Amino acid sequence: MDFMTQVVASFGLLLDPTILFYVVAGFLIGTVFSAIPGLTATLALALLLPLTYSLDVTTALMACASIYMAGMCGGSITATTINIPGAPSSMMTALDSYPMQQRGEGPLALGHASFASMIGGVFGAVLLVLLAPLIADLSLLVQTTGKCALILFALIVIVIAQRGNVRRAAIAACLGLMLATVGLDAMVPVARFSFGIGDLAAGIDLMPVIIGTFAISELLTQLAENDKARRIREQLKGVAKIRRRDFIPSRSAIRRIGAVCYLKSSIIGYLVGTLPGAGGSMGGFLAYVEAVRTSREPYSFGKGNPQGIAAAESANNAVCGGALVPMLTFGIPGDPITAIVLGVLVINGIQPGPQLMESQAGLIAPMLAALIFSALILIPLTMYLLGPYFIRIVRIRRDVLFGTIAMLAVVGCYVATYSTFQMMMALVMGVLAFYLRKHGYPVVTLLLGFILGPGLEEYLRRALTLSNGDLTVFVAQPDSLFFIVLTGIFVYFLAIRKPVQLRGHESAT
Amino acid sequence: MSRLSSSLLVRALGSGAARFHGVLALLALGYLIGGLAMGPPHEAGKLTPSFFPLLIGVLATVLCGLQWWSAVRDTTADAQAQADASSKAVTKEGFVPDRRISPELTLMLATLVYVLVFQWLGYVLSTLVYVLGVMLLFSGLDKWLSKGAIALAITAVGFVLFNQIFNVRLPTLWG
Repeated sequence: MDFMTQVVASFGLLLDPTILFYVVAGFLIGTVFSAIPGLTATLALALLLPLTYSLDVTTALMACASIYMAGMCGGSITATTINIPGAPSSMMTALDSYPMQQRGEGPLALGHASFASMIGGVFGAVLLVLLAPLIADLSLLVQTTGKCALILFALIVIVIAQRGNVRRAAIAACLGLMLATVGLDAMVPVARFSFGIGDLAAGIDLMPVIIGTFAISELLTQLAENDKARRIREQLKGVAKIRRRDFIPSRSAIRRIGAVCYLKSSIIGYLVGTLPGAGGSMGGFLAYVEAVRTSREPYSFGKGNPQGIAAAESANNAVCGGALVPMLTFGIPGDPITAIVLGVLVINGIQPGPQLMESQAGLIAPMLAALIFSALILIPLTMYLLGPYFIRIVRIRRDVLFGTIAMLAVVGCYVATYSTFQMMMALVMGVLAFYLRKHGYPVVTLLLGFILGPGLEEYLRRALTLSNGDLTVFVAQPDSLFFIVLTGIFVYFLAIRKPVQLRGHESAT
Repeated sequence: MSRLSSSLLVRALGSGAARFHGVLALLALGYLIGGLAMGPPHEAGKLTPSFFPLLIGVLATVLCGLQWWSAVRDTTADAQAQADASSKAVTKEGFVPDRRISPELTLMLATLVYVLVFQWLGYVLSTLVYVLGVMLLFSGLDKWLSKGAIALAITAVGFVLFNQIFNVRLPTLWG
């Protein structure tokens, strides 16, 4: 059975009430978390991670997929209603949806955002289903030196993607790599940096790193910004009541936006998603810029043009499909969410990489089916059914919300190993990540450094051992040479010769 | 003048950013020294376990060192600008440092205590107090009784979720 047939067959799993419950619950949690400014779907996934120990891995991956999709579109709720994007991916959406809200067309703006998210999400996921097996076949050609050069490429691109913050991003990546070296060496049985602590000899678990970096540090950050959040809640109180019938965009409005706009933005989003570190905000930004560039009425953007909302939202949801490509085919996550999905696989003893699509297609296919289901059914359904109540949901009491998050985060670490050591590790990581964030360090590079570190070390040592320490092996092998040239191209265009759009994006962020 | 610049440098070294970058630089240096203590990176034609830590250690030390120096330089420039501005309007009132413990630090300490007593006090009691503490930190001390009831409900939901639905054995007060 080929991969596409397996994905189609996997839709049948959604008829199982338990699986459907987790997928729908995941989607709702992802929507609420991404709608609340400051919280993200990454945090929702980090909190779910400990539960995957007890959940069936297929169900866990399907829930992860729905949270991911929800996380990309939920941010448009507060972006539209109070001009504060709930998630970075909806930054460009706010430019046109908020002026529509001011004109009394907020629900319609949310309807456009929802429709575009649906198109982009489905397009990205279908493209992933079609292309992932081909890329997985190609990835089998990559040998040890190539794998080393590929991981290095991913790390360098993730670092230089943190524009204006490259040195701090590099330091955070180094910290992640340093943490990854704690514990037994993979090739020689020698404990490194364990300081005689038995629990450290086995290395630092991925889970406390994820919980600490994204949940505990978020708690501390939110506490530090408590007054700001209170002001946002006050703003939300002034938002007018939303009626269900106002959500649905008219056919003529969709025709005015045009199929080309949806399609082009989805392709841009998908391609941006395949790049490590780029993410939904970059996808939305580039698609928006392209929509303005090719529009007959460029002056109308930023004043409530639904085309701007459509471009940004279809692109950021198409990112989901693109971002899963490097994770599934090479085992290289490009953003925190795919890193956590990778964590779910690793926790369950599944090694992502070129063989994954072939050996574990039965696990991956349901996840992609859930991704398509979330985009096609859950996005419009949630908006229609829960849209009028979104503002009330987003205004949830912060003390109740963070009390629950604190409990889930800390106890969640205990669940994995029945050891308070993991809880302590999560706290240490949380405090470190909090101070790093406070001083402008992107913690995502720390996490990706931690995840990619062991692979980088293993392949580098193997490659150098096989070539007797000859570094020219990296340019002599075609696969590694390809990634080295690719790294050079990215460094040139992203770090040395910045395109005009990126400079604009930097000043906007 | 030189006294002014040296005092500015001292202030810069003591600033939050410079201190943090300094701590990171020291951590990186400590890691590098740990790597060196593991032995040579290359032995008998093979790369040893110290090879990668040394590589990362050197890179991290250089980057952290540069970041620390740039933080000191920036803070010195800021302090200079502040000194210039304040010299025009000198007041007799001295600078009064804020000696209150920040809520973030309180939350860190609360979490530390929670982790330490979790096994000993059991899930229910320790979680109830911790969740209530977090809630009070976020919303103040008023209506603490109703917050206590909500904390109890959150603790109960957590218990049902972990213990009943996911079959995780949580610690109890009686072992």
